Amino acid sequence: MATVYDAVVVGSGAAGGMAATQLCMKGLKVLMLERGPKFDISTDFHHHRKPYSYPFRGRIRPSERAIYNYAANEWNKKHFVNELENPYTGKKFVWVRAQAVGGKTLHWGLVSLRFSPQDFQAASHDGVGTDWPISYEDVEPYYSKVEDWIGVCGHANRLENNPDSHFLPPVPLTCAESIFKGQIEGKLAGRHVIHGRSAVVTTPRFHGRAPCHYCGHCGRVCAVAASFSSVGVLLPIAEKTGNLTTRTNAVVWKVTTDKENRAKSVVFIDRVTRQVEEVYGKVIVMGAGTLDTTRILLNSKNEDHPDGLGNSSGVLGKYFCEQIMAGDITGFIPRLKGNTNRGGDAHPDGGGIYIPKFRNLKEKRKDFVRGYGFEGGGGSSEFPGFANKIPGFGASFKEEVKKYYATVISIGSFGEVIPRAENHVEIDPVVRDTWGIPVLKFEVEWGPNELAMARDAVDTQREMFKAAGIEIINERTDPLTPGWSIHSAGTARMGNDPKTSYLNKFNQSHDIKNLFVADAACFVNSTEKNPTLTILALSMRTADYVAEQMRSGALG
Amino acid sequence: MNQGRRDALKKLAMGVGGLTTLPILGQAKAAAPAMPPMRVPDADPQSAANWKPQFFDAHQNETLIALTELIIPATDTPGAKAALVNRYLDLRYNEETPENQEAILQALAWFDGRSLSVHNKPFISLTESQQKTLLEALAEPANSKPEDDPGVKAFTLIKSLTIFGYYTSQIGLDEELKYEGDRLNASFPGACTHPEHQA
Repeated sequence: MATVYDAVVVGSGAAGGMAATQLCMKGLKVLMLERGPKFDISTDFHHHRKPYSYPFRGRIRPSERAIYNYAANEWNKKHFVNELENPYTGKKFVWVRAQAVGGKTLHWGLVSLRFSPQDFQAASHDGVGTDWPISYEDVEPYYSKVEDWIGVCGHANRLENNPDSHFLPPVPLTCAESIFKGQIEGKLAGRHVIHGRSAVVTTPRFHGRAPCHYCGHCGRVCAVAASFSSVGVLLPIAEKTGNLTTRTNAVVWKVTTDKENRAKSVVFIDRVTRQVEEVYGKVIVMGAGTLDTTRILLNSKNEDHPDGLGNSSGVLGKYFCEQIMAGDITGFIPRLKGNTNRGGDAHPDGGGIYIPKFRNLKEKRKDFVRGYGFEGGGGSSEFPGFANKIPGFGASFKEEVKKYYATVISIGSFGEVIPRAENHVEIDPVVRDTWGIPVLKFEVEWGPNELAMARDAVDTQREMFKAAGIEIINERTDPLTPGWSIHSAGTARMGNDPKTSYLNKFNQSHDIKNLFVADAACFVNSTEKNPTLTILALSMRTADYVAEQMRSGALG
Repeated sequence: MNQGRRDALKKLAMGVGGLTTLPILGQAKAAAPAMPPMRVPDADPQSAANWKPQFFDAHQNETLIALTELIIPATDTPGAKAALVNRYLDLRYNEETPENQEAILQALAWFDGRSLSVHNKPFISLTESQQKTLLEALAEPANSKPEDDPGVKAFTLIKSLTIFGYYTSQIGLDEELKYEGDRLNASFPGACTHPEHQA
């Protein structure tokens, strides 16, 4: 007899790692599947290595550029998929995928923002789209539990649309950030420049974790897990329960169902040996990340589920949403010329400044619904990219670079992409990946709302820099390619109506009661806020519900 | 700050550090490029005494040394020549795309072309003062003439590569900029301590 686990969890990042850990803590026997290997973050990555200790200075060498996505570098590249082995088709889209225990939490940007009450009921506010079947009050206890567990630093600003977390002390602002904050808040009513809210430990002895050591390079994989990663913070707890089995190198192909319309097994292909294996669970929890989860569910179609597993609604793959990176802007703060600070970017990722959404909060604009926020940072940074904008050459040029080094400030926008049915992914009928699994085809593009919002974001970035007396040296005014934000969401959305949603309000399939989706595929809309804190909260909530339903016998 | 996403952007936006290649859609059958064996990061063959250029010829290499040192010279700290920026560029361009290889060879050739037409000598045989005069026409694109466009393009490319190579070198990062990240700090070294900067 094959082992039947209480739960098989697909994925090991924010969603999969949290679901697996919470289920283990509730006493369930869990098998967690991960397509990549398991790295030891304390020895397999070297985030303090200087750029010059790599022959290509930490950048991906030219002969490997086709293999890696834009977020990869010499420090972190081993946890990403090989793009050539993992193709996808359709419209232009950037799909950054991890392949390691911990998933994208190994390099993520750490920005941690609670969604607001209005975010969950945005459709009621502006009449566009659909409300979530849950409210802020449903999620709030889970935000609190997650924050108390993983550690989120920041400052309580009491802003209605950016609810405060249970914060650890914020990272201090740099000179450039302090001046910018004073200028904006003094000159533009309704604009706030707040401390970055980042999933990093800023106090000693927080659950025994090492505090941040301010090297500035979380994205190169923090070797001591001062910044949150699933593999550094959650999974060691899961392993201690004795309830977790991890199967690495498991490239999941499909989920099968039995005659009683229950999810029965997960079929995967060993990434290395190419052998097909099947594993069994009383419950299957998908947490592979929005698009991989959706790909697996679409690839799981069978006689009883001809359009994809549990897809009687037809919405699986539809209502894709994310954030548009509309523009960004960089400049010098003239009065800081000659400032000698030399560690301006040595804060944790996400620990600089954040400008919360200021459009469509109370008023309603005619040109677009929803809004955008800006992430930013100021001060000296490891590489002085601004030097290209300093004219001339020679000794005077070299001196100017040094004088301007700490004067730089930069912000970039993340705007809500409205979920629309036509923005969707499907299975390509022809192309397969290296393991023979059919790949995703993207039918995703910006709509009029995104483009109008993007124009406004470009106008306001310039407006703020001018108001603050900043000498603008570089401006990007065209949106980046869809997918660039790595905030994909919404392709298996939740809802109360089984005809128009894939999941119920507990992240449970309407059609198959022992099938759950714990990642951002469940989102009804993306908001302008970074998704990971909400993924963690909803994954924990899903796991609590699964454990409770199993205990009561409701899941058989 | 969302480091990976925004850093990659800044590089793109400012033309620094070469091309960022996006995943190619629908290229399932694309063959993997030949993969040279990985170098051991800490054993630095670029500083070896018997180093020889692999991509550039000896004359191009000398031209590159002269140009990079003119752009970032030795002052109270060493310059681009001492930082071996030319050796980094040789390593990199040895495996760059044919288009990028062509672009840098054309850029180097432009300096000789201009030098030969004005002084009847290759660029590296000019006096430093003559070399500087030649570059000055290009360094301020607003002041340059239309016929200088290829030269401005050549200078901008070499300058951008020099900036990248120098400020990612030990000399540029540690001695010149004195960057304080990439190490264990007891507290945030970038913290503002000036009351006059506070909101």
